[in-house]
Amino acid sequence: MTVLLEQESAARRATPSSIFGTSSIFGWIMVLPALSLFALFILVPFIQTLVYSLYKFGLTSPTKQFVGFSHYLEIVQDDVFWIAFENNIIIAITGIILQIGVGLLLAAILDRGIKRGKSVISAIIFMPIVISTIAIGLLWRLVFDPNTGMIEELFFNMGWSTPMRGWLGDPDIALYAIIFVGFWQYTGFMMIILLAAMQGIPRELYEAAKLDGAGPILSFFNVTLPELRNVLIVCVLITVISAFKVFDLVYVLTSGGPGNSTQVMGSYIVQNAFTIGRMGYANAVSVVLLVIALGLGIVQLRTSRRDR
Amino acid sequence: MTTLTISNLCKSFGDVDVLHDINLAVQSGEFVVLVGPSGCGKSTLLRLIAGLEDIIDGTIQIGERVINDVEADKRGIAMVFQSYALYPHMSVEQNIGFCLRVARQPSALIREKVQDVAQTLQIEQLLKRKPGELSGGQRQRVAIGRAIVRDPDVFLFDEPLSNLDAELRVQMRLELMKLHNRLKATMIYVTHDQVEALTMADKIVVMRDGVIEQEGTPIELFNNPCNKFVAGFIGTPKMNFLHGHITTVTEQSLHLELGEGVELEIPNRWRGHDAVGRGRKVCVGIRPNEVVEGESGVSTLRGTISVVEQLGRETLSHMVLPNKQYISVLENGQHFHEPGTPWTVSLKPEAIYLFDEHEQTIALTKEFA
Amino acid sequence: MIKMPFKTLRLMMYVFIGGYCVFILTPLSWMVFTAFKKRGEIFANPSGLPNELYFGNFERVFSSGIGTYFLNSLITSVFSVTGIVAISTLAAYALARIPFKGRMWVYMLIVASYAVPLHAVLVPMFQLLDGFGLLNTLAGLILPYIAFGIPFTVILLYAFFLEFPKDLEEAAKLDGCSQLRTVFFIVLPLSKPALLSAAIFQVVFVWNEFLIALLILTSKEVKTLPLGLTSFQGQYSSDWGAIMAAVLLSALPIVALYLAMQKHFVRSLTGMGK
Repeated sequence: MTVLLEQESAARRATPSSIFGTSSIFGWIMVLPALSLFALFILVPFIQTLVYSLYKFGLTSPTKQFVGFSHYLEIVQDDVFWIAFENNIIIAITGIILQIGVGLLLAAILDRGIKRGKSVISAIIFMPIVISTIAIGLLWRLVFDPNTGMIEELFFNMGWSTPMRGWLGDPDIALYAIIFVGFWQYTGFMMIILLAAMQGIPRELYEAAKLDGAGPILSFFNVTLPELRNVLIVCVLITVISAFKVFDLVYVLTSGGPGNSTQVMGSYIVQNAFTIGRMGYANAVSVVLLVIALGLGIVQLRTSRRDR
Repeated sequence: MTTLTISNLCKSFGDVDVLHDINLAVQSGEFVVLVGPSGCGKSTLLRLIAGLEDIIDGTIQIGERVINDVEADKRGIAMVFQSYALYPHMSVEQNIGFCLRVARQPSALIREKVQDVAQTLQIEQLLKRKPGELSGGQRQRVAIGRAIVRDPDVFLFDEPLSNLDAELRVQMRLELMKLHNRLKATMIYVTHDQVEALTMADKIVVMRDGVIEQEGTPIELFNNPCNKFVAGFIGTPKMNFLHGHITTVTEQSLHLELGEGVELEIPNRWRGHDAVGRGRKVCVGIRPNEVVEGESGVSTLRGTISVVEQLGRETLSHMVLPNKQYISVLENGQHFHEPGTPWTVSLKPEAIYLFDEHEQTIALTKEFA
Repeated sequence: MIKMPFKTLRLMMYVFIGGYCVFILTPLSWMVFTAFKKRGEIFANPSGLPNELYFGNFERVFSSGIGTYFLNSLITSVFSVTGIVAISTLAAYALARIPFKGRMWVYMLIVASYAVPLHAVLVPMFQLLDGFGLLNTLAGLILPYIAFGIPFTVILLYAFFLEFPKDLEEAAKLDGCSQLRTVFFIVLPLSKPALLSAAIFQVVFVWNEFLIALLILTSKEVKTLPLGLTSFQGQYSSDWGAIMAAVLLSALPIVALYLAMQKHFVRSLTGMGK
């Protein structure tokens, strides 16, 4: 993503000649379909979210009642919102450590550590990502199932004890079970991005390091990591942004329960809007999420600008 | 036959002027080389002739026809791109024949023409291949073939040899010259390499910063550069320039102070010229092969040998003067000067150029010219 | 730092990465095993291989309508992805290649919208689709999928078209091609790999999308696979054999596509890391 700004300035620098001449009409006609769908489904709803967060209305109610900023005041005092917010942050932090950490390790091994079986191994590690999160979630519900689950069987055979209310039924554990499944599914994604970046590092740098007497571990820390700095920043931002967008996995594994212990902002918005029918309040929570997401987006653009 | 006339041509991209008031006449069958450093506007000029850029001001005529508003493919030109711009998804045959196919010529005729061109360029065995399977030199030939097949009035070449290795470049240079002799077509060739310009051109046009500095035959430009830029640009090794100011003017000689006590006396062959007066800043130019070892004449310089380049048939030595200015000396044969040792050289008086403070060549007094 | 013999280090790497592959593959193999087990066997022997191949789970899943879900997912994917790629190609080409006024604004708007999370516009979007009478229709699903697929695809293809050699277009112009002809005979044939990458990425997104489907589709006839899976789960409760059979069936096409087109898929993803 950081390449965007570079491209943008490259486009500005580029000679203004084109086989289309400089006719504006052609250009606008070609972007019109994209622009109109974009306006209809993203831009207008975006503005409506902002405006209707100030109103009180339900799923089917025809009238909207203006309530000012009271939804936002309510958010500040809403314990469940803060649980959800905290959970998003926990998911983000653990995601950075686990997914990027392990993804980096796997990528480094695939890049320079081993010689055979690379494509098979990366195909395997990446496979869970193409399967829908719902399918993955159902699979792990089976694995975690307190009656028939494989983990239960494993712990029983080992003579270890398992949580009384099951892995997904215990409010202290459920969130970490979700994080674990997320780690299982998405680490390959980080691995692929980092691997592609590693393969872009000029081999001469490693040869120079070798001539300077650096072994594989030293050259990882002194060549690979510094060269990956930008990509790592992008990975952190992608992880954080997707941590705030998480919904499917929570929905299928716990639906935010038990209690509200695994509620996240995504599921809390859906619950308010479509289960409880407090659409205005859901909009207000959406605005908070929007601010976070756009804020992170700006950070991402800024980071890339500074690096260039 | 086809002449090309460019009058008062200007071009700018946004606020940046790239060409100012270009005037150029190309005779029918002439091989004209546009040469200059990168960013001088030579490629833009070529693209304006091709019809790839819009003309803002001025006119371009082919023969009697003004082509400002004629579509690129109707101008009777063909262009060979620096990158060759072969269509990667088409075979060589399709690449060469594409313009005929677009013009809806019958396929039998297309095949025949492509065959002819392939024969001329000796690429018949490559016709079924894709550009990706060709070497650099072969791609070059295909690109030229694509131009020939259109039988254009004017050929345009945009640095066509810059992607080839040194050996192939020399070979293709010769082939292009042969092609020109055979086709007798008007060709305009852009390059930043003055060796290509000198060897190939009937006429060289030297450009800088969007302006034509000088045009003429290679020998004219080599012998009579109109300013310091052309003098330095044409010819290898590059002309030496020594900067200083005039301290004494006599009927016979000029005394120059080159800074930090280095003095140089040269014969006064520019008598009566305004720029040649006491205290005026000037620049002395001399080609390295016109500098000789020893104190043979009046114009003697002393310094220390810094680097010696052995070229086999010749030796190029660089001497540093006490004022840190350098002078290069090209000697025939093999000489083994020791770097670090003192050295004395002289400038051949008849080969000295003098440039004024605006870097324009100061004309010789009539009796010397 | 301890200097380790490289052989030992390499062995450790093989062990680590081999172990990781086992970690990924084990749950996936449980999915397959369970789908072929009878109910009793699932209880008695959760993680082992099935004693015999039992197809009853698949029969149950088919009889409760997974075929419809499949068809819905297929229709949605085909229309959405065709729409996304066609519309994005037009826009990306115009943005990268036609210097029309205001194009940088359009581009920045599209980039910014890429950061807008779906949840944040859910409520108004739901009302919009309701207003159009598109709730419970596949069209109501396809339109937002196209809208949300556009930003990433435009960004991806914009980068591609920006680097597309201009010389080729100019050569075509000199060869007498009109603008449209250039686009269709030169630009598009050479963009096939990029378009394919973009398309495959979107197929995976659309095939697996859940949240919009959850809100818009309530009746059985229009449900897509991910939604169908959750209703199976509600319906069969702890009939894990049937659920895993459905999960397996829903994942097979996309995994097969991924394995066949791995190179293209990975290329579109790595574009994100740049």
